[in-house]
Amino acid sequence: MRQRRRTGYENAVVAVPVTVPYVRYSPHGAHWFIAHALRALLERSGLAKSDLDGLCLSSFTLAPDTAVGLTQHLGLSLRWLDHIPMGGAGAVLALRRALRAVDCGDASVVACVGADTNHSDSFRTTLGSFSQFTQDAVYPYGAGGPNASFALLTAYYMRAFGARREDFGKLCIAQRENALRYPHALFRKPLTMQQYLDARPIAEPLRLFDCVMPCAGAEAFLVMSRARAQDLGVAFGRVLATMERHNSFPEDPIQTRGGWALDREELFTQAGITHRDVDFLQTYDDYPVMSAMQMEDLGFCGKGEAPEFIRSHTLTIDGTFPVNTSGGQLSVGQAGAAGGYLGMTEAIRQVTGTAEGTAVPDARFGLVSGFGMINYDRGLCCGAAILAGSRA
Amino acid sequence: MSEVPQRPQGASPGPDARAAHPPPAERSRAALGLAAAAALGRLELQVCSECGAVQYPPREACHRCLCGELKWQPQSGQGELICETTLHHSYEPYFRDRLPWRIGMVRLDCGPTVITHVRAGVSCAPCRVRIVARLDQAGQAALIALPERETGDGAADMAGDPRLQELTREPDHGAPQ
Repeated sequence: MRQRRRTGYENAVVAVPVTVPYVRYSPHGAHWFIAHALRALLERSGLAKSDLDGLCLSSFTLAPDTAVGLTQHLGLSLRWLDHIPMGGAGAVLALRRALRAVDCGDASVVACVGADTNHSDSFRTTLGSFSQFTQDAVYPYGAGGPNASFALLTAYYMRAFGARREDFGKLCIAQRENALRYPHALFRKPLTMQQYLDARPIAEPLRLFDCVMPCAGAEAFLVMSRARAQDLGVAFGRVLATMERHNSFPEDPIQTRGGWALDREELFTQAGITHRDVDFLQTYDDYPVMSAMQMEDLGFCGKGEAPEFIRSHTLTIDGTFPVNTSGGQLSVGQAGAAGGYLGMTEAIRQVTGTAEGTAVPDARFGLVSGFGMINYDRGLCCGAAILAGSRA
Repeated sequence: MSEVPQRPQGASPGPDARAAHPPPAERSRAALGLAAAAALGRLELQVCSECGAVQYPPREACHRCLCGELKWQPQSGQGELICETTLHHSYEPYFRDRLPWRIGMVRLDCGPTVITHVRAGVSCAPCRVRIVARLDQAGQAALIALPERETGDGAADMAGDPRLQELTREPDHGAPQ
């Protein structure tokens, strides 16, 4: 049977990117951050709380609540509700679902929110019971958390493809430079190569600046019809194409690629653009090696060529290939599930011309990539979306 | 910042303090078979009754054919250490007191990839290894990579690696004198 061509997103658009400023630790619960995100969405859009009829939520620290508990906690009456526990892929997946809901009329305005709090011990609590496989087969082996898992992937990748610490360093330093222009970044000082290379070892070959800093915060955006956005007078972006894949390449002995590799062709075909048209890339940068894999698997270079690609480009906002223009999680901080939203809200700002300090000149097309959930030895969820401005 | 409290000179945490922080003990019900075999000094993994797929981590059903009947069967543990890391940071007090800690990923000849402790004396990745299963201080199974030539069938296996010797010591033995 011939596969039916995917329907595009003709009617629904994305608007009102919101960031609730990050803090290292917070005494508040995740609910507090979600409330602040929703409030900002309403204030900035001019919508009333009762206009909001859809919610798509990602949060690790909401327990014992889920999204439905939040409706009562925050007094929301909705006709469409989704909860996406898929970490760094959360925003892309929320976007895909919300666009369809609005396009089909199941909801008229959907708030997509990624938010988490961070108490002094909450990260550890999340880790040990992250998944059954983690609890049984990863955590008891030194309890290094994601640092340990990505150290293993990084060590393998470096040996297999000849990546050097300096290659990852160049990416981290460029992101830090971007972060200095982004008001919400928790890291406010430039990073030098020497500081990067000499930093305290965490899990070899990873050192301090290869690892994100857990913090508390929220990111959010709205999905609504184009007509509604025009009525409200809010700047909006169009979504040209999206993809998601879960547990791709299960036979690979270790992760060197993700599901993007299976869908990139269809993604660009659906978007009707080429790689050369992409003005900026927002990767899910929980660790630099994953940014490298995303560059490769999304087709900006071949497998194993990211180190050379990084060497041959400048990755800052004004560079030849701007990556993670807000600074990414490595320089802004990782506010739990909001980390999966950071690239999306920044991309919406870029294509709607509201990025201010971090604006890539004349940015028309942006690619946002999501990656999440080290269930055992590899990240399982991969997603991507290509965004454009309302006129591009 | 105020002065960081220092441990008194000469005092060690001692067996009692260490016992207060055992290694992580929580496991799923599916993982019990691993510990049952480890108690007998054996490495056993789940094998699907229908398609014969060997799998790890422990599951409730076969990842290949979805058959719900899985049998624990002895495995040679031979495989390749494909990558490794040395942890300088841990979220658990047990390991935090004993850093640095070496772990790795081993692709077993029988199929699955396992995350494992790596004993001193194992060469740098990549290299051939043999995985053995022992009970750890929490009474749970611990997988440990040994050099491949070692058969892994004696109590002396962990000699030369004090950390793993301690991790796999039977709780009754108390602290070394």
